[in-house]
Amino acid sequence: MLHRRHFALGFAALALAAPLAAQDQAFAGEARRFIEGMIAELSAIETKEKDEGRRRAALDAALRQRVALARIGRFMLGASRAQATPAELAEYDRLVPDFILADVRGEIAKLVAQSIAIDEVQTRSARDALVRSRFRRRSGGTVRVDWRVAAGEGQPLQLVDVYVNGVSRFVIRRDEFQALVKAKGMAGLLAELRSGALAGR
Amino acid sequence: MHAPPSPARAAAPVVRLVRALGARAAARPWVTFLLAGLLILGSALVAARHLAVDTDSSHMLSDRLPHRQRELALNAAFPGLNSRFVVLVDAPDADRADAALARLAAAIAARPQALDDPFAAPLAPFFQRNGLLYMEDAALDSMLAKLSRAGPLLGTLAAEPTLSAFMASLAEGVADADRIAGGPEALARVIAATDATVRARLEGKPRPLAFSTLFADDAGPVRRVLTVQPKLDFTLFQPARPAREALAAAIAEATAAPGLGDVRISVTGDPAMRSEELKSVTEGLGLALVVSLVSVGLLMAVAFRRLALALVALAVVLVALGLAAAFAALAFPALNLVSMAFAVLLTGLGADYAIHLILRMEEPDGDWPTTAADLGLALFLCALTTALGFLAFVPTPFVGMAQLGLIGAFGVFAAFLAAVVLVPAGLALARRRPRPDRQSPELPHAVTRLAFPVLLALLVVAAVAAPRARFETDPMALRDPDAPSVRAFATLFDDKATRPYSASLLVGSEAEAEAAAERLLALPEVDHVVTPRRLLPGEDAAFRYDAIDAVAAGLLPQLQADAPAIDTAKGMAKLETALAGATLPEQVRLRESLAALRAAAARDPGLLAAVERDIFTFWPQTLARLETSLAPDPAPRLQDLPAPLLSRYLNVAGQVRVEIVPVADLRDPAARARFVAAIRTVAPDVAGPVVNLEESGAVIARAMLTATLLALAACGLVLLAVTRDPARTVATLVPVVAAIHLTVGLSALLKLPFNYANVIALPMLLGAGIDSAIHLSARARAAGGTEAALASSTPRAVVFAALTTIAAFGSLMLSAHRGVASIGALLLVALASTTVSTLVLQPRALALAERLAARRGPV
Repeated sequence: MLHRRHFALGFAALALAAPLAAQDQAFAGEARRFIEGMIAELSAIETKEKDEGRRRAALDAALRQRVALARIGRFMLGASRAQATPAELAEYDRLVPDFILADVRGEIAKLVAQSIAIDEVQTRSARDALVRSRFRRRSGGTVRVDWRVAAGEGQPLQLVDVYVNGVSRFVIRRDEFQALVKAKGMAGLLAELRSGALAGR
Repeated sequence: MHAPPSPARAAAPVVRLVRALGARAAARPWVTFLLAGLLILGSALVAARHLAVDTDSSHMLSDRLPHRQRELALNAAFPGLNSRFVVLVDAPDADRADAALARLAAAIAARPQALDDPFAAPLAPFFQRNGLLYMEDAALDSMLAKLSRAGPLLGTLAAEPTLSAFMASLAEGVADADRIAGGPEALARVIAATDATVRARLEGKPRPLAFSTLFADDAGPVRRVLTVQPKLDFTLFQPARPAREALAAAIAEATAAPGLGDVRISVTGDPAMRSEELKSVTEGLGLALVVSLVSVGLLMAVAFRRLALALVALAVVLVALGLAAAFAALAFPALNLVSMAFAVLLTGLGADYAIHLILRMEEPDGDWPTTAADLGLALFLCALTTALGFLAFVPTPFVGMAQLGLIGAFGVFAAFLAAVVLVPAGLALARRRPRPDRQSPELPHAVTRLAFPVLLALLVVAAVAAPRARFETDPMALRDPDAPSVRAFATLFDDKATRPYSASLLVGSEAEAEAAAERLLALPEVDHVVTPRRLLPGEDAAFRYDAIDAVAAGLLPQLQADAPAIDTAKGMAKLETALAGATLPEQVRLRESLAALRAAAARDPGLLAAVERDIFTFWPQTLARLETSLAPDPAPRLQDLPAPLLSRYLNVAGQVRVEIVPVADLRDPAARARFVAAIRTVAPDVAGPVVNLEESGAVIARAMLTATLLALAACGLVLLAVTRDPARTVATLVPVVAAIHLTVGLSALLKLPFNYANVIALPMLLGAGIDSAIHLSARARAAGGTEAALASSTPRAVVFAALTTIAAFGSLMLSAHRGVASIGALLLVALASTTVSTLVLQPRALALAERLAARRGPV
């Protein structure tokens, strides 16, 4: 049997939930604008800049501001970090941002040149959201691309992963890195990063 | 100098008692046998009502021993650690294993009257959520990559779980393996699995598709473990029987589901092994008792050449057995696996008294008073020394063997009394027929002369082999190796995570536990240590959490999509088209099976629906598990762990159990000794099964030595007290000491190690083996010399008494329980050694004693 007290508790819960929902909505809007802005900027570079060298530099500059390079770098190294010496870690931290930029640039540049539609934003936590979009292929059909954006407390939003048809780019990379470290050690991974051979895969 | 009293005078009260008892029984033979029958019946009723059996071999040692004290403290702090059934679910893949496990848990939960508290980590919500956090990093990354790549296929099936959608997805995969199925390897696996499923349906043997083959690196057989507490019914002889039957029914129910036919479920754990052990021991002893009674009866029929006399001797055995069983039932709350053997031992020993009396009474001068005068003291001494052999374990901490000792000691005196009452009564009924053809003295002489050098050679060989005699401390080595629970137990050693031999340390707090764990982990003998904190995924789980979360962020929205990402219409036709030009073997096979399916479906309209069922049988559980496992706790806490698991390491009083898991397989005694010695250097108060094995072995070995020396001393003192003749006493003991030496050497040569069950052999050998020597010695004195004794019925009685004892003890070897069988084997060796030693050595030793006595002059 419901009592007045139950109603009171219900209203209290609603009163607490309302600001939370508003916060989520605000963050979702922020995430959406972040991705829309990024796509617009990258798309403009792709369209306007005809010189390959300058286009690449402009894309890298735009991505460097928006992609969580350090976080992704740490993520891709995973538990292999524990096996690395401080010197190896320092070199990894120096090499990996360029590798990530090259990787993301190659993937995103292909996409942003096409027609994009953002469907929805799913907030995963207070500062973590998935912006879901579809790209219409020129050849027909659509590609589902989800953008994961997150921000630390008081930090600006950053892109932390890209999912093409649900497949995480960086999870695949992390598996490749682990396999490399297992087979050739940290030195082997660093050699591959130095040579740039991994980026083209 | 004070002359010692003659043995006849010292023995007068015993002889008078024997003569009087026999005379009274012979006066009323029918009444005597009627009373004996009633005694047997009453004893059997008492035994049937009160006899119980405790199969826990750890209870065979005194609770006052330090390691038992630590074990008891551990059991008090963490009760029930070893009291659960361990159910092993083995399946070709994770889907079948998980489906069978879930069905088994449900079937067990439906039987609360017999089974309680089932726990399987894969079914616990905590592990369903956080299981991936426990994976090894490289394996997890590889699996997550596969999972992420399979997102499109999974998303399509989540939105539309139909045969058409499945085949359309495969068609997309054939065109571009990365696009739908996570790469060529995963595509090959799912195509092969689909082919197997279609073919199985066409052959009428449905085989549901295993989705786990898509993600697992090693898609081999999978084992899941479930533990469950049996509810014991102590009103039954086998208290765990209802629980075992309920578990068997639950297992049958779980594997009866379609597609789970190739799942194997086996049961092990202490209750299962003990229950089967009790069954194998009781069945083995039952068979051994029947065989021993029949063989003893046949031997006596040969010895007496009259069936009636053999029946009299069997009546003696039955009375002794009945009285001992009733005594055991009333004196002890429960027998143990060793003391259960009393029945067979007494069959052999009990017959001896009847054989000596009957054969003596068959001699021409064998009336009862003469027989009583000649044998009364010898028989009493035999009962006394045999009882002393049995009782030798009483002062030791080996309380389990002491129980057998007390029952055996009671039993031999019961047999002695039954013999002196029933034999004269029986011979009063049967027409007395003095045996004209006495045993020829030539045979023993010939045997002794030929055998002496052989025996000496054997003693030398035994001296060389004796240092290699060993003691087997592991009770597992004694169990029936073909018992299902023992076979299943052996498989637990295949995986370090399930190895059953570990040690435990009881400490007062989590901080102490962690400090001890660090010290223990520094030892090369220690593989890993389990503490409450170490049940959690560990500090580096944050790395794994990030990886899981990254996959979940992309995959979960796909699994929750309303519509498939691809066009799923006419999926089978699309797949057939995609496979049309295939050259890869698995794709060619699938193309062929799809053609066969299409042809068969034209005849059977329900076939495609059946294939759809086969493909999606495990899909709901796969999808649910996937969604759950992709949402782990960011930082799992101790209180989130399943209570049945946590309570094995942390109790409500705050006490903590540190479980120490070895690197080596501790079935190897040397590895076991090294492990226990190593962990003791940092944790002296360690307890647990493996410590028990080591400690028990040492305690039992010491007890065996103590008991043997005690038996030797006691028998020697009794002989000396009665004969007052040190030379004759030594002459009587020499063959027995030689037999002990021979037995130890032969145990090494025959690879027949001593164990907690058969260590009774040496003190019993002393007690029982000395009987032959006592008889020969007594007869030599009564008949006026060794030559005269050898010409009497005594050597024949000695041989047949030994043969009946050997037949009875040897029948124990028929037991499937290796411990019981080893009692038979070792006693067989011991008694054969004793008989040979007595017949070969004692005449020489007695002759020497007589020469010494003659040199001293008449007393």
